[in-house]
Amino acid sequence: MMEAGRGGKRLEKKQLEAWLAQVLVPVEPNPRFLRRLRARLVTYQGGGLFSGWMMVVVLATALLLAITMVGLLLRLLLGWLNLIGMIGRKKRGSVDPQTVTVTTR
Amino acid sequence: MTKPDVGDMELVRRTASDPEAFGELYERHVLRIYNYIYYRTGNHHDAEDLTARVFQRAMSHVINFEDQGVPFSAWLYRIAHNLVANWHRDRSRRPVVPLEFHLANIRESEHPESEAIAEEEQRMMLAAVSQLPPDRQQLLILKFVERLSNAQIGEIMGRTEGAIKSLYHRTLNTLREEIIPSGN
Repeated sequence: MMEAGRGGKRLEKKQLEAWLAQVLVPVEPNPRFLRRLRARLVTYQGGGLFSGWMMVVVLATALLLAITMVGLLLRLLLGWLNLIGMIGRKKRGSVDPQTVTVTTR
Repeated sequence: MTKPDVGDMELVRRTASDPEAFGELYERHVLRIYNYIYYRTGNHHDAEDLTARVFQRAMSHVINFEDQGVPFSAWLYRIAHNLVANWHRDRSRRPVVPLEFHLANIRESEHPESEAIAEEEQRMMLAAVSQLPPDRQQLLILKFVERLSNAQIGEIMGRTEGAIKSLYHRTLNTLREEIIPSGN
């Protein structure tokens, strides 16, 4: 194909076009790359962080966590009050016999 | 699921509610965009990276795409063109023909010598193409790799059909001079 041009002649348009058509041919990308990119694009758009369903799931999880935390705090508070009550009762229980002893003397 | 006979604009409209619509658009255009980027960068690694970025950018802006007579593919090519331009600017160098460049059409022959000559000639041609200004490279890729008409190329490059014809003519002349310098 190049011979016509190499002899000092000007390369004809048709020859140049035929040569370009031989060189510039479609290439095949890696099929794995194509599959992965498609999955990434569709997943990102359809199931990504900003999808409606994802927002519902995030809100529901946050609500459940909040309820659990409030329940835990209430239990801790009740436990704490119970402990204070027990200590108070113990103190009162240990003071009363002494008082009785003093009065009997 | 989307049907193959649905137009690009209809799919663009559906992308807001149906993620598979963008998947369909991707399947329709990915090979063309990949080929375009491959011939502009000269290697598969950067072609994969930039193709992924083209579709990620397209996906995040597809809602803003409006039908103004420009096909969706033209919009994708413009994104690809801008990303490739940035890629070349980042490297601050003239594009060279890497060793990886695909020489697909060299057929196995019984004459290894002529095969080697053909390979060398093709390499020379690719080198000459890669030395052309970006718009001329784009024109040749769209014409020979994508097999698009002058009118389609005009839509993508934002020029008239006549301007594309004229640019093509000048490109061939430049290539001729590159390959066979005067006095040779």
